[in-house]
Amino acid sequence: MSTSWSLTELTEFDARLHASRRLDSIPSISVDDGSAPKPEVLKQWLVHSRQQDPEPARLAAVAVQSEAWLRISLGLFSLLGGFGAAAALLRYEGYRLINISAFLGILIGGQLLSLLVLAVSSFWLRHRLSRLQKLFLPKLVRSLTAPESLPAWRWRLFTSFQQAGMLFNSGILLATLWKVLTADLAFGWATTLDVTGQGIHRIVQTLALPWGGRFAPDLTQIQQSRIVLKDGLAHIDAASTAAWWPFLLLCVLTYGFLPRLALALFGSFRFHRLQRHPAFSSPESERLYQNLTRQPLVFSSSDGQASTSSPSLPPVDLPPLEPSGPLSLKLPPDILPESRETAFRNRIQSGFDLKLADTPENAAGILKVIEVWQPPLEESLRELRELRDEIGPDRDLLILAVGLPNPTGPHFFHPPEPADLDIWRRKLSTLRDSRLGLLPWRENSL
Amino acid sequence: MKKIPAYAVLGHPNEGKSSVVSTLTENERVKVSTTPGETLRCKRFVIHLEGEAALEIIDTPGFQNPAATLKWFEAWEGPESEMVDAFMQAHRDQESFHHDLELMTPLRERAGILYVADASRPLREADRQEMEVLRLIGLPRLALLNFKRDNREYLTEWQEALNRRFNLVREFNAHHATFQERMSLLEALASLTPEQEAALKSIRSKFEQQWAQRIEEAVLILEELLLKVLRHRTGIQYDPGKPEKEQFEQAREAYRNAIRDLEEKSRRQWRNLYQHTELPGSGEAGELLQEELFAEKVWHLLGFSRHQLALVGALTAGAAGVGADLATGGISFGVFTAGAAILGGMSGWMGGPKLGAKRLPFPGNRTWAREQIVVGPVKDPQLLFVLLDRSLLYLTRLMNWAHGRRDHEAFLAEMSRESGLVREWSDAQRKVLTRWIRAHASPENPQTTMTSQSLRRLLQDLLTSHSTENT
Repeated sequence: MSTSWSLTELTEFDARLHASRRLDSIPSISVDDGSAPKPEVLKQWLVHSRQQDPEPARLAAVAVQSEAWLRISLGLFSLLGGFGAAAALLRYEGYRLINISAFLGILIGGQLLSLLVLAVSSFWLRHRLSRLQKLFLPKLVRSLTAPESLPAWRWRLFTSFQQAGMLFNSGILLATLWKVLTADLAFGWATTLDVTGQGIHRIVQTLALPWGGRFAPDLTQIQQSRIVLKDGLAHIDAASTAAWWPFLLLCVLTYGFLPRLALALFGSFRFHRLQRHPAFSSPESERLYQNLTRQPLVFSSSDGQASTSSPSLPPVDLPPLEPSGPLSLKLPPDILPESRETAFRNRIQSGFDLKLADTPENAAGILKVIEVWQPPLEESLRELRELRDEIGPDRDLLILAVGLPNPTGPHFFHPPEPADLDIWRRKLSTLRDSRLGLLPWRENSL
Repeated sequence: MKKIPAYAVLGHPNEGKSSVVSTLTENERVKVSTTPGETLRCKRFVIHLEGEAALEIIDTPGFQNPAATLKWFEAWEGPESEMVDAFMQAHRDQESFHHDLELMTPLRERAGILYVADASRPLREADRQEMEVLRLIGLPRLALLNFKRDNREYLTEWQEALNRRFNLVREFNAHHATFQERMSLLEALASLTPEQEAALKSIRSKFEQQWAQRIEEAVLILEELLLKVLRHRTGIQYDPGKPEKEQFEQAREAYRNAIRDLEEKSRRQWRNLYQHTELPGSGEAGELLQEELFAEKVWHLLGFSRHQLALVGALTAGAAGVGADLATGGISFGVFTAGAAILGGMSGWMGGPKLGAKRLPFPGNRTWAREQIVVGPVKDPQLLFVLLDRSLLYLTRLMNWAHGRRDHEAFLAEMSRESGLVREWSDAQRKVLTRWIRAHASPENPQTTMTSQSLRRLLQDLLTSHSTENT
């Protein structure tokens, strides 16, 4: 796969990145070679994305085509403009010489000035120019916040403007040649200032330096082509007036056409270099590249979550249980030191208004202490069922629900958490035991 | 098929087994219930690396009949290797043993044992019975001491009981385990099951690699956010019939909303990156991360101090000022001009950035004939610093937030820090940031790539150093 990126592809890339940014997701694909250079990996992503959604590619193609039409129109306009401007300036009807100052000043001086502005702007004001360039960019490109294509667009537009400049100068050259070939032209120069022919000769020689001073009028020809209105055309030497045209053509070629050609080549070089080696250094491109080349850790589960959970039991309230007589206390072995058992019994009797039987035989039922911070196991419920079988269906079975132990405090246990109580209440209700009750431990009852 | 390391997470009901699985597998969707006994079946979580299954963690139901199970195992007289199978055969028709049979399934497949115990509660007989059952089964076993409450009173008795029956005992708080702690656990598993050592080391290295990659990506998202805020502009159409002041304030509020949206979007991307999609991006006023970006408290506590801003202002002034103004298409109000330090200092007192608004006769787009009121790009560099600071706080909190935690409301509310991170930066670190701002204020600047790389390195190092911070 070619790693060179066309302007259309760069524009499409930005558009796709922009779209995935809006969606907060980057379509993932498996790249053939994750160790390939960044532009190649990103190209694979582009090609893959295009198969899924061709719209950004179409929009990018429209943007690039629009620029091409703009370039052609601008080129034609420039060619005609140059031709028209030169043809207008080279109008000679026999009674007034064509003033080379106007020709050089407008067609060469103006262009040199624009080159100067370009040089200054590229150093000081390039950002202002880029703002102007932005006005001509398609909205698709302007809407991007981190466009990889923007530098390429800038150089493309720069090149287009320089090409238009070349065509403008071509128009001037064509018009001048056409006029030289098909009309009798007579050039002269005029000034109000105290400038002699020698002065003009020095200027002409300086301007002609790039082509070795040849094809420029000599001192005599310059002196003989000076326009002095009071003297009329009588003293003008016809050969001298015709000697200017090669100089003017070479001036347009050297100071108008060639600089634009050089700039167009430079712009084209930068443009193609960007296409061959796009940077892709924005954080977004970097993220995309990372996502494409790195194998993520994937976690998967064996089955759906719903099937792994039991349905929650409905909320229930156990009916209140009034013990019909003294109860026998059943305390699990490891929740209270033996030394504190008597004190604990006393606290139960005083705090809950319950009578505890001295022996199980004298009891009307059982008071079983359960730490309800522990979950109700199947085994705990089975134990309660077995206890019921043991004491028979008519005796009371009261659960004293306690919280975490408070071994050093006066209250033995913390009160149970309401959530724990609720869980036990639900579980106990599944036993369907009418003589089963639940009594939460209360600190203030003591 | 290649056998991959597999570990069953076992324990008493409601001890935090699912939280441990959730944290280990970075899966926030593992159902963590406060009601015990809700998990009926084993749930297998497979971690795939480079397209291949690499590690299996199995969430199991809790023991329901530890005493009866132990009694059966103690009475078993056949070959040890057939004990689990025989137990399952013997109880297969007993509904009350459903959970116990289910949790034995991975043990029949010789999975390693991760026994989770809540060491913040007293040790009871049922716990001893469970431990004894697992000891009798004889598979490699590691006990994880989880702390559901902030209580270490019972730790010693737990350690004594576990040390007698388990190959290794480790503390692992499923609600606060950092990435480093998870990696230590993998290391412990490697020493527990030497035959899997190579595979587990490879998994660990991949995890570490991926952690570093995530940090890299998080930093890129952060840089993207800063870049957007640096260049952001909001415009509303100017209505000559309404008071100008009111419209200026309206434009400023639109700008602030746009910046808030950008921040929220980045937070969402970070949450996706760290697989914490259910965590909140913003919250009610209160702590630093809950307050909205332009709140007075945020501007007092985050970003650079006034003294630091004065230095930063000097650095970002000059070239940056001119560059930034030009870069933003000329519609600038002196971004990072020499007054940046003063503005930054003032924003600290004023509880928010000073946002310039301007009527522009050149609105662009379709409405050529009408003026716009435009706010931004930002004048006050402190906005970037505050945003960076908040983002770093959010990120360090997010990357260290254990997936097993379900108290999502605490994510933004319980902040261990009461100030930001950037105030602790050295001069050299501050320079990296200011150079980045200077370069990126102008998209044409050839220094953008270089300064981006420096900033990315700085932020990556910073986040890496904070990736062990306990939440």
